[in-house]
Amino acid sequence: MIEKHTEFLQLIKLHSDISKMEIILKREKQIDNVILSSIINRLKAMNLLGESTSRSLLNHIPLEIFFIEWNMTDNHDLLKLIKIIRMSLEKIILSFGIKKAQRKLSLRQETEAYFYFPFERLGVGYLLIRGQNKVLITAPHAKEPLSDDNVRTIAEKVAIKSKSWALISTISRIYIDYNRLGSRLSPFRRIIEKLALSERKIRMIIDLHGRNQTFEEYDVEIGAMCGFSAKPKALNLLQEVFNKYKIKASFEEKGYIGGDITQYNGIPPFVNVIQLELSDRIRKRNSKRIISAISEFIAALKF
Amino acid sequence: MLEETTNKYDIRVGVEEEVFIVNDLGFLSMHSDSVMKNLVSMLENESDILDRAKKYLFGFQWEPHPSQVEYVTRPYSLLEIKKAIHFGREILAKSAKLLNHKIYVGSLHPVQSKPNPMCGTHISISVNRKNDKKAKIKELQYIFNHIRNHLPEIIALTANSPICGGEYTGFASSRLFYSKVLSDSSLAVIKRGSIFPVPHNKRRISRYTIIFSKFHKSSLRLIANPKGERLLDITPRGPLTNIVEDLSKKRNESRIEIRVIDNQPDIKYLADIIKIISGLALEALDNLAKGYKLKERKNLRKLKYAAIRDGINARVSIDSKTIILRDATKEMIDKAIQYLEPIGIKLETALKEAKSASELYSIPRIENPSEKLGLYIKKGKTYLEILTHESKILKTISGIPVLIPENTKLFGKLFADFELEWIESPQGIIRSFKKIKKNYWLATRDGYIRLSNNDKILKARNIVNQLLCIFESIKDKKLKRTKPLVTKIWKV
Repeated sequence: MIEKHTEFLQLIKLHSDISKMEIILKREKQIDNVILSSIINRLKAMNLLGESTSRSLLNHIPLEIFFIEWNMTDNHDLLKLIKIIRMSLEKIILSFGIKKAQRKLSLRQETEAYFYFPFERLGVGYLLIRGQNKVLITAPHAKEPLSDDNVRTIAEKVAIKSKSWALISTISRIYIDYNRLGSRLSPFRRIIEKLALSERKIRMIIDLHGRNQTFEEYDVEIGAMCGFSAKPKALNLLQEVFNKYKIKASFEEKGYIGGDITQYNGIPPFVNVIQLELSDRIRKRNSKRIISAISEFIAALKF
Repeated sequence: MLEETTNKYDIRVGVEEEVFIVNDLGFLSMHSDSVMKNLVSMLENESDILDRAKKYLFGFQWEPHPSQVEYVTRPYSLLEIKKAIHFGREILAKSAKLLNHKIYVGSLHPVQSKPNPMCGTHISISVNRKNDKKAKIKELQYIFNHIRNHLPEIIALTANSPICGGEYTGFASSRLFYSKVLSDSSLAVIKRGSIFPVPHNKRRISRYTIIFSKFHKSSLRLIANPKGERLLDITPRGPLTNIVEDLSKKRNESRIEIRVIDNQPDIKYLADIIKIISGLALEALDNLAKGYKLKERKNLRKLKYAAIRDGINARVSIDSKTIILRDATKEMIDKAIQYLEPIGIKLETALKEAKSASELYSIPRIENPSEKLGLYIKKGKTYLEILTHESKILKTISGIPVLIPENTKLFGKLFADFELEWIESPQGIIRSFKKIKKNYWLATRDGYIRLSNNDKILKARNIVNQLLCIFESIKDKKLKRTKPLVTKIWKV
């Protein structure tokens, strides 16, 4: 138990050091070696805390940062790398919480190190539509059975209308749910990371879903991990566009704060992720309205 | 005396069985809600199924894990309970089939239970006198204590979960070893009083309940747990107990609930276990009639844990003799049969020879091509630098196969996938898994490569070490990196 508390404390201290390093690098255009040494020592100390540290750290640090060829002499590159690590730690601290720190992790293994689908049989598991702007529309639950009705059509139409990228799942969620932690190593999820971090072709991800409630007050529920996965400016703009189209939208009121795509891939300002939970009514009867609204939002985005 | 006892009582049993919903690849599907939705529409549209459901079942219930569902049968005689279990499993399998799903009637999923989610079978046994009088509290106490004394043999016969998280755990019943909701009960005692305080401390909050007896009702209570908890290995249920949830129940709902039983792949086998437990109940009543006093068995806890660990082949010490638990179990079964024969009940399976459930279906074979890689995953050292031993096919993220020559240095993240083989009934009920095959993969920058035991592992790091490398390279102002193998990343 003591170990878990120490681990949490170390995470906060590490975050504080990395934040300091980021500020100094931004202001003085150079690395503070004292802070850098402190970070290195802290990581070495964390390594002594046991296996659960690495498991919890693993949760939100994007795999892609270990594949990118960072130019360590370029301050701009370095600042981006540090910012991504800092933001990932913030997400870990947010989701870790003291309650999670108290849980027994003894038998838990890395969820993402196991793939519950024969990988050989997977194929690619997605359909990618190339776009011309920096927006990616994702539809992770587009394949029957248990698909979100009409979401695939909406995603494709928005992509065509707004010249955006679209990534559509071609495998049912009964096999792999692309919006869960266990699918992060799948080609569908890795291509999001590649487009966003390595290729820098994407700055905004709109993750489309459908919800099947019988009585609905809202047409759309916007989720942005309590504002952590997208810039407030983008969220305000989206709300304005929805108001213009008379689409009743709520912000995380029904508890849809975002699935794993929102939580893992959202690293504003580099990558913004907004999850849209579309009601039955808007998907089936008023799909034109939502297609136009999302397309207008995309056109109004400035990067 | 024996026949007098068997003729005097009417035994009824009810079964609660939790099952897993799995997809057609054998992995857990977190969509039990959709399966239940299908079930409801099936019952609404097919009146004959609805009539049978009403006849056999109390209902279905959700479970904490979204891949689990539970059915509860109505109390039935020993001859009819098999039909109810059959119906419960079959109707669930039928509605799962509409989603291309199956049900798995095991206690632990061989790869995804770590150790949760876990499923179990709860058998409730109620005894009523044939002259329409309800069983007395003393009779319930005898049945409870007698069955409780035989829990090691019951566990040995039914232990059926040796695999957890894709590995042999070393326990015949991993479910019983890891479960947090199957605490040890204590010998049931009858307490008389007009006030029954039920203290309960949970998460440092002191909770309590005070129960008053009505003036005109008996103030006797059967107590197997002083805190009134019901999540025990075996527990008395109904209004005669100190379990708060049961206070408003009717007297005819008094029963003994046995919760230690692992799910049984075969219904006939489960039915035989129910029969043996019923035989034990009759034996207990006979002991009561004969005026025997029931004490707690010596070393009961030790015996129970021996049965959980080694199952039917456990070597145990009973009455200062070291014996195999199978012998004690055989003795228990033979005694139970004596009470069952007069009422025309016979055992139908190899259980009468004390052959356990795990012997009926062989234990799944685990094929692990590399223990070393499995260990790295366990330790969290999933960031590997390897040197390929032979030429390999790299599957890019866009699915294009690329040939990688031998002695290529690669960096990536290690992960494992599974392939499962199983034994299935024609109704879509997975009874047991035959084979679990593990494969190891490396998610590299350009795609995926299958690892073999011959590939040389140059470095294995956990995420903390990997981050450390980044910060150390900031210090050194350089970062060593392997060149990209594939330039074309995806196909449109």
